[in-house]
Amino acid sequence: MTMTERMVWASLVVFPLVGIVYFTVILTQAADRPVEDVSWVVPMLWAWGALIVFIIVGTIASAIATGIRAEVAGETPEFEEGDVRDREIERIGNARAYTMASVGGFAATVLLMIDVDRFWVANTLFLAGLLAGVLAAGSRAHAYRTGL
Amino acid sequence: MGRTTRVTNAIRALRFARDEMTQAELAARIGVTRQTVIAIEQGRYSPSLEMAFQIARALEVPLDQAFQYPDEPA
Repeated sequence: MTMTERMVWASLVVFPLVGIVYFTVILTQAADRPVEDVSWVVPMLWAWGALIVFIIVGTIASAIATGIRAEVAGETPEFEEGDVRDREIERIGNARAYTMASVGGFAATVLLMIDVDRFWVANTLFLAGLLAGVLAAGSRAHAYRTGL
Repeated sequence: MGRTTRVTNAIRALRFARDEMTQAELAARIGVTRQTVIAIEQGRYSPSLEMAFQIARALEVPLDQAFQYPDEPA
């Protein structure tokens, strides 16, 4: 498994996990107060931070795992950013993510048109971003597993 | 998604015929990762025409010896 593929599988776990934790925090608050009073900015910043840290730490951990695996197998480690197949698979994932992000952007625009609280707009965009990430990783993992 | 081609290949057999060339060696020669060679051998990835020529050249065989396309069923 290349570094690129390893990160795809890790994303498939981390993106939903971050989403579950974030929305659990938000919905727990929303259960006993109006959504206008829900404190969502700080949890969302934490969620973004978690995803950024995951990308940095995940890349480093994946590089270490790739090195150890190659050392054990007596091979040259494949640290590069993938090859033509990885790029084709990435394009598939990006296309799906772009579609999801577009839907999220459209939904947020509609919400702004009907003048709802910014809570709904921000969380719609955040959810669309998370789903785009999950969709991209899922599509790529499927392509790695079953082929192009 | 999934496999969409009927192209088959004899890369694995040809590697062994070429002094038991490893997947890693073939990958290095054509400039891809070993995982891509594995995917091609298993029919999970159809290489571009250019890569197919590179593979055939690395294995020192004509293209149609490395890759085959079966006739349409009657």
